[in-house]
Amino acid sequence: MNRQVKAGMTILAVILFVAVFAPVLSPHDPYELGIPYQIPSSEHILGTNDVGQDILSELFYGARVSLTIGIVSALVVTVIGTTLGILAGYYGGKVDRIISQLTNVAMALPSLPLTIVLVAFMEANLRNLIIAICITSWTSTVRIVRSRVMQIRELPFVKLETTMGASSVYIMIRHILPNLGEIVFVRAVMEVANAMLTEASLSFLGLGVLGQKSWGSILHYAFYRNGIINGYYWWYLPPIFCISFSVLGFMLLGYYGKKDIKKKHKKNRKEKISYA
Amino acid sequence: MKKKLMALLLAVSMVASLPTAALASTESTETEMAEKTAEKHVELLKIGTTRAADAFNIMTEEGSYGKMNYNSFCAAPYIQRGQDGVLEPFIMTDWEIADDQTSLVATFATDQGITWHDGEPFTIDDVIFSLEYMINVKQSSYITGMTTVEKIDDKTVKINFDGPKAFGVLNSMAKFTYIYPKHIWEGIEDYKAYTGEDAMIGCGPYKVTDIDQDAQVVTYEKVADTYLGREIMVDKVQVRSYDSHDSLVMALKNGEIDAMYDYSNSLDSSMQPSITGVEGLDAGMSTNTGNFQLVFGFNVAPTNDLEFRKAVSKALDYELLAATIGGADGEIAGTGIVSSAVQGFNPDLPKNAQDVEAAKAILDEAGYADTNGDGLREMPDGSEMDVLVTPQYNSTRSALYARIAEILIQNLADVGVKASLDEESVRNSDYCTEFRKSGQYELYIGYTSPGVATFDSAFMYMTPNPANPWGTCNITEFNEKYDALVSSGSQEEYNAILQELQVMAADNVIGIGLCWDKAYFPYRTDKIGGWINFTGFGAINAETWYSLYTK
Repeated sequence: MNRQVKAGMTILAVILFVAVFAPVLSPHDPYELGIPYQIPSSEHILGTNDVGQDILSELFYGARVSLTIGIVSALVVTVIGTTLGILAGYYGGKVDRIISQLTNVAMALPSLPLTIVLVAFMEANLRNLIIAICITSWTSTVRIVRSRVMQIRELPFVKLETTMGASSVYIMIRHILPNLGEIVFVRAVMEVANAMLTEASLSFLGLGVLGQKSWGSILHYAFYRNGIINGYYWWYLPPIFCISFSVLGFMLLGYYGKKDIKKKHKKNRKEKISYA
Repeated sequence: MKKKLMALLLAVSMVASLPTAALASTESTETEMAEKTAEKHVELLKIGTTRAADAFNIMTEEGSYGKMNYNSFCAAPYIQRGQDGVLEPFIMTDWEIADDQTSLVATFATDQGITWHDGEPFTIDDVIFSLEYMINVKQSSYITGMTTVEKIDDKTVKINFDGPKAFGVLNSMAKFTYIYPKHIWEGIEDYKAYTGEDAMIGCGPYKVTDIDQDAQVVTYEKVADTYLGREIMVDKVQVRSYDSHDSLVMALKNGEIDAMYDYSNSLDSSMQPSITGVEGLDAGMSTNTGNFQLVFGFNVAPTNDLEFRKAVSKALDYELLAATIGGADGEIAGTGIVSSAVQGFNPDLPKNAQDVEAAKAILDEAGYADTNGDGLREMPDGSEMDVLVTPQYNSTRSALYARIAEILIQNLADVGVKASLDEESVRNSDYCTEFRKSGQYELYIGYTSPGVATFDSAFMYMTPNPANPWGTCNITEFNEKYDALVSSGSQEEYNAILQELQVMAADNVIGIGLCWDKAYFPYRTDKIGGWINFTGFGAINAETWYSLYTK
């Protein structure tokens, strides 16, 4: 495991820990009202917001929403994208044309504006936010997976399996899917980061779940209640750092994890060859 | 002797030269004064607003042009309001209300050389046309009750009403209703759709000379050196439109503009620190005549129950509400709701005060008990209670409304009452309007603008009335008193009735004033002087054009 992956995993482990143990770690109830605009002190390490809520506690609880949306969205998007990509890449022909056209149309639509429109039309809750993010995020996974599957299906061992009469479903699950691990892993990790950024953008615009603590919503109030213009750095900087660090964590894991996996593959192959 | 003669001659010549010298001195003083006055004129006043430069129609109040007309600007109002909110003559120079309040005789400035901005003379026919157009075509809510207009002579008309409404209508139409040029608008029924260039022709002291919609800048120039006998001190006005108050404030701080104008939409109190202590900038603070308020829905339970309303009034954290809404200058509102800056304010009523234990006791006694042991109270009949908190839709202040709602929900939870936010109302203007009209709201967070506070009061939003049919208060005595307020015959009578209404509102907890805040309309003081900051409306007002001077 290289250093970058270790750094990424450390960041994500910290965020995950904070999210899971938010009720224990938070010094205050994040919804508890108090004295507004308090600067950082021993009582409130990151100060308070415009209604006197403790910003550190808001951040801890915000990690839960941001991570939940990020991870669930990434899972859904990866499953949909991988399934469609495999189907398009393996079957080709009419199936490929339909899925590719669908993907092209979806890719032509600007994702953030479309997500905003979807969120605006749906009832604002966690589930609908995830749905809106998923609807606009599956396309790139499909394209990448499809290209890779098209390469794999031409390999001799797949041809051999086909000749031996193995069913398509069997080949896709047993032989093609395991060979997509590296791509799927990278896409999944990157999708978490993308979904977290989209959630932050939506919440910043006031389209998140009102009253629910998320990093985007903390930024929303810091901006729209003039914390930035008044220089209340303790209000707007922490959520920016949290979003940036968690995205960095996923990026490190995605980019360098991919290299790590490649190295492992090469190593395994060499070992197999030497054993042979 | 020779010396004496010389002295005498000198003395005589000196005495003889005195008047000449005095005359010369007077002439030179006048010249200097004229020069100084000319020097003191403000050549260009740059005003920033968030209203777009997108509508130029004297018939509507839209865009920066429409809103600037509230300041007796391009369009000439019949009457205007002074600094203290009192009615002042403008193009309607005098008026006499009949004792029975069913008519008034008004005199107009048709003999003072005023012309329309296209050069046509302003006549009494324009006055009659304008009033009849408002009655028959626009059916303007400002003049509800005005029925007919009769010409008396070339300066005077008699205006008739369908009841004792003369003062009330005058009060309502001040600064918002204008004279229209008959030669342009005669025959045009769909005035909103009319987009001819002459739609912006008025007869006020300024006329539009340039519109740059790409840059969102509109330039106006004065029509003459004097208007209605007063010297116009600002030669040219530029109104620049900005996307938000943030960018407007930055432009003001940079000296790109001289003052902010946004009608009654003051800067949010949370921006106060960014405009305080800036060199050459006055925060333009004044007491807001308007106020944020909580309106109870009388059509639904539990807000139709006086005991529940009393409990809510005791449950709220007014200090936090004042700080959240009004910032450092926010003040806890009184139980009479109406702002202390409004004429007719009742100073005898106490301020709101939080008493959580009292709120709990009231709820216990009224039967709102936690019967299922989940920590939340149920309705007296045992059914689940979930009070809906509906904030008014406001595109620029949605964050503040959401915060107010959050405080209310948290405060109610502290006394065991479950309340939920009506999220759709925060995001959807149409939904908010329709829901409000349905009268099915429970706790409605709203705002009384300074204009409404001046001539209708915050109670307009609580009683069912022609101007605001969605009020749900069903206390007959209160509603009748409100009707008496809007048809009062004088400012004194209006003030007296308003005071009584505040007492009744406090006793019956018809609504709750959430904060008495300040209005902030900042302006630069380093180059221009003579600003008059109108309470609740700021330094750009009907007096600005005559009072400013270059420092």
